Amino acid sequence: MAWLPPYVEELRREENRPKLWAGVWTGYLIVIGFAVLAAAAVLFDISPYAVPFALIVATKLAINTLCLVALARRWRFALELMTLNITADVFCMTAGIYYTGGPSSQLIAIYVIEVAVMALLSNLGTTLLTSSGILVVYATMCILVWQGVLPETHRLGEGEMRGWHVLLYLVFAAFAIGVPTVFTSRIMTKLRDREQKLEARTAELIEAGKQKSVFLASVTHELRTPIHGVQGMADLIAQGVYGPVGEKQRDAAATIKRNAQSLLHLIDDLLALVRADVGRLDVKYGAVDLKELVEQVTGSVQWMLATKKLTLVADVPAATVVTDRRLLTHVLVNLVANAAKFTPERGEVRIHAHVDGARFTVAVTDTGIGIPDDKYQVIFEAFRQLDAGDERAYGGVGLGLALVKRLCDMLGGTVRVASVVSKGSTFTVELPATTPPARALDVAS
Amino acid sequence: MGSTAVKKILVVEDDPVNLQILSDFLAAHGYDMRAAATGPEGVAQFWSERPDLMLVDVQLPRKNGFEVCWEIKRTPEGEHTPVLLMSAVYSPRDEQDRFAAPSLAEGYLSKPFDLGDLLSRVKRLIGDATATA
Repeated sequence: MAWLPPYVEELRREENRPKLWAGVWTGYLIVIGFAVLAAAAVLFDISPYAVPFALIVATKLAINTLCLVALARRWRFALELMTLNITADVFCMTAGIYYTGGPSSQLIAIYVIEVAVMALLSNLGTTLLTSSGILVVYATMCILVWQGVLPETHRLGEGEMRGWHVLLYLVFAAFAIGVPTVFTSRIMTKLRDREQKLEARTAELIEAGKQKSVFLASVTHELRTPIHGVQGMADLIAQGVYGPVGEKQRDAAATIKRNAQSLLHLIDDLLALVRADVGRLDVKYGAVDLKELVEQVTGSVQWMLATKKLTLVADVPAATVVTDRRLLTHVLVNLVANAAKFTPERGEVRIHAHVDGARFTVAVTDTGIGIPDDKYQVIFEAFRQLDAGDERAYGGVGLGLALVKRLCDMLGGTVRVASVVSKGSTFTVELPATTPPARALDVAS
Repeated sequence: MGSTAVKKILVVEDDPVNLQILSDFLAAHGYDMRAAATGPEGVAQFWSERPDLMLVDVQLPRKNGFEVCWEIKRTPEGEHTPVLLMSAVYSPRDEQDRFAAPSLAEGYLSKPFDLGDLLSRVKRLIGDATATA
């Protein structure tokens, strides 16, 4: 049943049931209000319309009780009945206003109560719908009275003002002001509570995040030490320090060292990423010989290229740029290692650098599996590799590119990717080739 | 001096594995190795063993590597004993020696270092294990 607007439909959800219940109880408040009015009309003779008042009370009581039953028994059309109940409210209130003097009735204040309660219990759409309905019905009533279709009526207590009239007006004023006040204060208290809880929770989460990062930083540091031990021992075995070694033993020792090395790379990445998160990674600018740096990078990943028989082509000009040598090395090692990882055997990895005045670019191109267009963003998120299944095929935890992006950000540059699936990818890093202005001032002073 | 005695190297390092690697490696190249696990122990051994070179870890319990180095270097006996500091704190090569300078050390090795690199630095400072000084 989708004939109700979505903002009304939303009230059907389970968590909104208390609001519907509150609507029903408010309905009984309105019934009591009108009943008091009808009783006063008869007992004190302040209004000649006891019968219409009784009819209004009966109508509202009937529909409201129907809603109560529908809600209690969880009838499917409970919400539809509630909308009918609101519509009945609007008509009953307008009738009440009509029978207490028409357009100039003192009772017009009950519209305000209705809208206030709606606003606090439902949502913007439902409230606007109700207020529009109220305006239309009230305007219709006014026009009908003005045109003489409906006869003019008497205002409450017309004629001589008596002492108990004041009492009656006060009771009505208390009702008109009291209901919105009680509702507003209750809702505001609830909201304030929720806000405080949320704030406390947010503070807790931030603190937990910080602690996690600090913990990770110290753990990764502790992880390095034993790996150095593994590497050193493998070296000593390979060099024959512990006795003569055959070729197979030397190969095995070399494999141990290589594996320890890739573990160390992973830990370094993790450490750098965590430090960047905690804000402990400083950028230290200095003159960097681009060609020499690329040679150092390719040297450190040579074994990866060799294992898969990949060809490396480097086209780097002999140029000096101002940047952080350590961070740029980290970026390039990750990009080249990434290219090597996702390129099938006998493929090619190309490094092309270009300095253009204030900026320089380094592009790493592979003949690997490529990346679909819609995944260009995802690959730069930490711990993401495209296909969960690929993880086994290619290894790693998807940390490298996230780190590359973070480091490029820190160096005031960008990294972008262009790729054709199953043809290859090009990752291009673009960075400032000179000291950024803020740093330049630091150096000058 | 013309002495042909085997060169003596004192390693001050609290990590037993690293200590073993350094000792075994340099011993395999003929050096006479001595070991200490803490700063004060390192200083004491300097006086009792009088090594030709010292390899000192920076992060040592009780007395750090810089203090050990400075304490030895300020004495007339230790002034000419070469000291190489070692640390796991990452730092690019061109910064390493600048880092070592204020403590008067002859050099700085960032862990993990290449053993071949270590050997060549040791040889540059004190020569082969049995070479005449």
